[in-house]
Amino acid sequence: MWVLRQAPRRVWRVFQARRLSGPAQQGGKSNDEESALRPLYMDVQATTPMDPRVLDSMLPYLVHFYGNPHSRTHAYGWESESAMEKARKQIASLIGADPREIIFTSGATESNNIAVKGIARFYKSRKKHIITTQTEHKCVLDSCRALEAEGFQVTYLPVKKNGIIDLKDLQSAIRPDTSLVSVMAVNNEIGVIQPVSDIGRICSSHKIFFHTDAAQAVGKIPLDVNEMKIDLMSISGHKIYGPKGVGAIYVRRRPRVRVEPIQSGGGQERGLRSGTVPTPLAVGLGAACELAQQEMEYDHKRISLLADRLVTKIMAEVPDVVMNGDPENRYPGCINLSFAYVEGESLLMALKDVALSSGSACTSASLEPSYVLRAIGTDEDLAHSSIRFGIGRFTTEEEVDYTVKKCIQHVKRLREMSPLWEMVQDGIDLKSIKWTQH
Amino acid sequence: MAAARRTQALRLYRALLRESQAFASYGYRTYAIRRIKDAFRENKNISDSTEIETLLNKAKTNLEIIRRQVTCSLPIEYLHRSCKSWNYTIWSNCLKVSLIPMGSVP
Repeated sequence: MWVLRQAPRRVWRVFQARRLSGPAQQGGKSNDEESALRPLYMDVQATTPMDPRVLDSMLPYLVHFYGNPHSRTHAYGWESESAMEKARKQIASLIGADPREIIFTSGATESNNIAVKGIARFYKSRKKHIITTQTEHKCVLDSCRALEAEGFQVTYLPVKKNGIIDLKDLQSAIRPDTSLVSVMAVNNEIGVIQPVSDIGRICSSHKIFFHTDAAQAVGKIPLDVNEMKIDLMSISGHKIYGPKGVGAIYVRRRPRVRVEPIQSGGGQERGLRSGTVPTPLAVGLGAACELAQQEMEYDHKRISLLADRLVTKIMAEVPDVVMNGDPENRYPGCINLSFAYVEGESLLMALKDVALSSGSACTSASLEPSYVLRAIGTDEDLAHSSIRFGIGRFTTEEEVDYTVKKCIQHVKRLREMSPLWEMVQDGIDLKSIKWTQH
Repeated sequence: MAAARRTQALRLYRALLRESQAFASYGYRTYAIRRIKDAFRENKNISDSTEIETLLNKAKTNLEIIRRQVTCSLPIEYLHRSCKSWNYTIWSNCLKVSLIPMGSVP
């Protein structure tokens, strides 16, 4: 009986699976069908696909358990509240915090705003100075700009050639009226990991609050807020296979870190972030954090393997490729390569069946070279020729191989067309050329 | 007891792989299959019975998740197919959405 009932379904499924198989498995399909396929996704620093397990945990709260988690008078509110608190616990456990120190926000941008502006404004009567780095995400830099307009002084620390800050620079930038140091854990463009523990130790010895933007680091590298002496930490949902539109901020309770809220309202989240917590999104973020904790080792091993495969294959086939950022202290899933004598935008256009980006998604609309690459001292021409490859949980060997193949092919093709490349082959030093304007 | 557990584990393993085949999205499908194979391979030498019990329960939960996610991940993927394919029309009719440009309607 079982065989009779199951067999047709299995045949159907196998048929379906073949029909819908991804680009890497499709050999001799017609052009028409191929054009309908979507490009491969190799831009996981911009956003990640949601894990099916995360969606599965969210679904009941999107349809069945719709109560307001802040309603205290009925069961609808209670069940949503307990789900929200469970999510808070899951997030706290991933970073070694207490659940009461986690505040839900709309994403890492909001978390960074709360941290930078909130701390600065709360302690403004005594402390008027903030330290950050030149390679921070735009939302931290822009918050600092806004504070400068309010009369605060901001030090933008330079970074070394490898993208990591010099701790001596940090030491010497500290002033008696410094209230906050904000340094990101993993850079979103070049993937370098800053020495978070060392920075935390320096800050705590000077009694300065330390905020780290860990949107790209949480769930990917081990982080512990107590060991690393972090006072505030920003977390994003959609960078860790969770839903978009949700994030969290960790705010230390002991010793207490006080923050002036940006948003006024009903006083939810201990008054730090008013507004109803979106239960399904919070549940999704919690599930994503729990999964990240379980899968961190497995994912990291696999991502390192794939990243190694990508880099070694490209480096072996194409000369004059520069890897931006420190080769050792980095998160392997974010690879930023500069292909000399090739214009990054034209390479991106040529690689239209692979979704890639030349830097952060926020600035991908402009043709300006990335400010992060300029900060690490990359030459203008190399900064224009950079591409960021993102490898995540759902990336496969086939996808990496296809990207590598296409990349090598197009870099070679574009270089053959380039007069600069021809000159380099003839042994002319490009820096010695005097360009004249007509 | 041990033999019964072995059969149960193998049955779950096969069921998990079979259900994962139906993920419409290439990334999810390959990940699920790879993860299941790796997890079972990693845990094949575990002899502690309570630990085996927890792992089997986890596998059961994951099987249910995959079953649910496979069914709800289908229609979206269908919409991304070429306009010419038959299932596109069927699904767009089902969802009462017409993505055909106005000018092309005879």
